[in-house]
Amino acid sequence: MKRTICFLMVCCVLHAISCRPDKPALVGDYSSFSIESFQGQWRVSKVTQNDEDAIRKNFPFKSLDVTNDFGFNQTVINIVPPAANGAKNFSINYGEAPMLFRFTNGTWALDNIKAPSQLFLINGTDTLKAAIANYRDLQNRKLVLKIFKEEAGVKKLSYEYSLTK
Amino acid sequence: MKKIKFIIIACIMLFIQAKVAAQTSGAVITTSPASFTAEDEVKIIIDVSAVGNLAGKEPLYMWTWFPSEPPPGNGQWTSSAEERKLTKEGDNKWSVTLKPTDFYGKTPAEIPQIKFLVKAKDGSGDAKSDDIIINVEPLIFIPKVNRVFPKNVGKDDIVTIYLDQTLATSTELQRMTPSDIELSVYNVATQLGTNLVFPLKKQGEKLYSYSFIPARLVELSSGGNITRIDYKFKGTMLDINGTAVPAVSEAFSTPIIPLK
Repeated sequence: MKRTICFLMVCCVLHAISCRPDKPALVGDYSSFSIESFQGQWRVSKVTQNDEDAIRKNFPFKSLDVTNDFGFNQTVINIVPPAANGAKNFSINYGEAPMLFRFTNGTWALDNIKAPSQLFLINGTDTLKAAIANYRDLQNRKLVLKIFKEEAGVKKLSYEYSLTK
Repeated sequence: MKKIKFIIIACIMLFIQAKVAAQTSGAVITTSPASFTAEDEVKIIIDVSAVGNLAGKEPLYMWTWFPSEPPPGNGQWTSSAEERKLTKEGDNKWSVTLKPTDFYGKTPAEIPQIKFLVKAKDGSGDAKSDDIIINVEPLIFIPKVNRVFPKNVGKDDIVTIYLDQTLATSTELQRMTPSDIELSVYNVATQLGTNLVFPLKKQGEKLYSYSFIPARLVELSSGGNITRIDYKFKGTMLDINGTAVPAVSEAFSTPIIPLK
């Protein structure tokens, strides 16, 4: 009798453990994001232009590395830690590269401070949304940002920026 | 004297003919998105301000026949079906929003173009526009001698134009040793600046390219726009004596659309 009760209790415990939900998939994972490692001076190491239309239709010629043709690795983004008054500033030095981020300075914000998926670069009334494509390598001083361009609400192309500290 | 009379009458006839044509021509068509497939929803906007026979008239109707007459039909020429009534967008501006496959009840392969005209409910007395033809993008990739990457670009985006000579059909492009590309920048019908010539970059056997940002090609005033880039490939080819002579391809064009 004791054996049966013991067996049933073990079964109940095993059942309870096995029913835990799976962890949701994230662009990184909570533990890999720290605001301190996100802030600082980032240099563009690679820019890939994607044809979102070709990706949707599974056409050939989906992506193109445009880093060297336009000297994008001269671009440096400085995400400044919050000032005493709480202002979060950024500045961008493009060098000779095109101003694909549109602004040279302004303020920055994240959609979620613990697990962000969007970085907002704000200049006056204009805001540039950059999707944080990956921060799994943030500890290794690597970050990937993606900027989409749309027509009538449909994504037409994107630029993927690989950044290193 | 008879000859002079004949010339005067002929001139008057030609003038009348030109006048009649002008009264149905001049419609300005825009689509959103700028390019679309048969399976995309598209808003077609027709501005009839310059169409003498339609300006100021309302309501206006769509009369379409290609790829087919859509159900339940166009109605009668003297009384268009209410289903074909256009939406008023503003003074002399009318629109229709449709998904070609649903609207025409045809497969994408059967819809390479849309052909229609705009008319008053009673089209008598030429109360109509000229025929309007809009190209529909194919759903399959079609290799071209002049490929533009990416397909949809804004004036501040990187545009790469490729010349793939293995796909050339014209004699000039097949025989040419390409060296340059000539670009012309346009805002609607107005050319901005002069023609610009840049060296092509060899990407492989019979494959060349040139990358640029449209807004960096010309001095744009504040709020200035670029709507298309026309281009030609230039180089040399051998004549019958084996002498290198200048060669120029036919002209190509790529639209520049507003992207946000």
